[in-house]
Amino acid sequence: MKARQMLLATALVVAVWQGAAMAVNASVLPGPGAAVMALARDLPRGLGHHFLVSGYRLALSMIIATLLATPLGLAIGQSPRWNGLISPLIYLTYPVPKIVFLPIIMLFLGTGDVSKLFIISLILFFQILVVVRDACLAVRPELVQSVRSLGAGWWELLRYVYFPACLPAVLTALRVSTGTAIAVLFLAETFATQSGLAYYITVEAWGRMAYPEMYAGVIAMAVLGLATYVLLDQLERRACEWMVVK
Amino acid sequence: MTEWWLTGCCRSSGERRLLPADEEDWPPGAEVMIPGSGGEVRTEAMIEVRDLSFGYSRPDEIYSHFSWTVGAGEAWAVLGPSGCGKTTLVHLLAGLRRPTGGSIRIDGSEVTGPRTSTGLILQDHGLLPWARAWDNIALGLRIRRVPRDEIRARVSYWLERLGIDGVAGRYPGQLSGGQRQRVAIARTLALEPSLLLMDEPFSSLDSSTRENLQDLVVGLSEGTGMTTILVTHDIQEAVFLGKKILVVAGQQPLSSYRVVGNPGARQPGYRRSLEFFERCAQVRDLTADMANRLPFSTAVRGQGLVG
Repeated sequence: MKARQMLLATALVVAVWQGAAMAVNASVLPGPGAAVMALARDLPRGLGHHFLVSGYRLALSMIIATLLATPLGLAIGQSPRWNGLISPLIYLTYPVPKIVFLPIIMLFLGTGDVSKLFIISLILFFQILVVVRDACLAVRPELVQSVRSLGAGWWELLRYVYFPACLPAVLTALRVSTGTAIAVLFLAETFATQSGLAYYITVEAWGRMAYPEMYAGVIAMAVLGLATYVLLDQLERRACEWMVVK
Repeated sequence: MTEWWLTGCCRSSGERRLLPADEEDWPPGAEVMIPGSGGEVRTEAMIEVRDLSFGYSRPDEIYSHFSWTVGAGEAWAVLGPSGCGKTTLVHLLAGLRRPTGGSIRIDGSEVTGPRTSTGLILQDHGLLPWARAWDNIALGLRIRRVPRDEIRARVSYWLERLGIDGVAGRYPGQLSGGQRQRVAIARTLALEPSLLLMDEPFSSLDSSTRENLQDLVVGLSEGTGMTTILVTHDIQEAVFLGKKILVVAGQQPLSSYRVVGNPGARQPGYRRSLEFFERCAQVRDLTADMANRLPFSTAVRGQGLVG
């Protein structure tokens, strides 16, 4: 995505927002200028801290989910026996919206960071598990046979074939799941917490009817999502260079 | 590295041994037995397939009590229609599949898995899409824990020898079909195999590239003592590359075959010779006969058509 295209898109969003604010002409929809000023004002006053806390929860959840789901997905994808055992469980549990377990998770894990990390990781875990398994199953048998003919055992196949084969799928799953992860983060941070962007938006801003600050929090959350998405996109381009070179 | 080539059976201290091509490397007291002078020259078997049976699922068998012998240093082409079991045979020889009956012995040892001195080149080259050409060529050497300096030396050698040193840093997706197959050949030959198996390696290439690579394989394998077995459904390719052509066709399970001797194969200019075209016609007629299930006897070895 070229910078010029990004700037044009941003300008369009800002223009639409400004137009809507002028049309509504109410304090509940301040213009982008007021929101940006509130953002600049509150960033050193606490908004920056909330941003970092949310960022930390999001990043750690992604790392935990990836570290747990990738090896399991590789194991299932390489072994028909494991695939036969575990895939029915995945089939059964994958469609269930994990967010409904949030109250239960909080009962068991409390209202601190652990429950928030758990719920986000749980949702991402299934997303990554399925794509890693499918990526392994999609590896051409001829490729595996070719590498086996060189003397590769299971470790060499894992290292040189299956792991690189599933890497694009993992990064794509994380990138595509960014929006979902942030939505879940927002929900989790509205329960019994005193830090995080959702807390800032709902309690510190909305609760005080400080609407420019509320929109500032929304902008911060959007920036968090966009930064995560761009970071994963760039990571995918570098780690999976073979997919983009011509 | 000493390259071994059977130049004749020799006797040293009463033992029969293989001799290296270079006489300077012969052990003390070795002498070659000359045919007709009371001794004998016999080609040692490189591959012995005995009563081979195999099928992907019972009771459908592809091979049933199939026997075949390949001598050391020989150049074979296995010819047959698609789906007749040629690729399966290659996979069995490469140790990627285990027979359900019988045995396969290579260099006297039973094949129970991939051998370090067997090289395999597949139709779709089998290159890792996420590794550059250099890394693909080095793959087998890394798997076998070859020291880094030696890896560097061998990979550089084969890149230059095959004329692909300019694409060492590219991914397979950036290479042409011919370049990819050259990288696959380099990857296999970097391991210095004594047996080279090729499963329709050139079938997806245009005719010009295909002939270039066929000439390349001839140039690389002739004079090295390497045993080569090429699987193909292309009659002209089989006739050009196979000094012996194993023709498999007919109803499965396969238990018998015919062998066509083709001594002119691999010679410069062979493709334009009358002998080449006659041999192609001969093989074409033979495959048609076998496909139509006309009666034939089990062939073993020899010059020309045995029937």
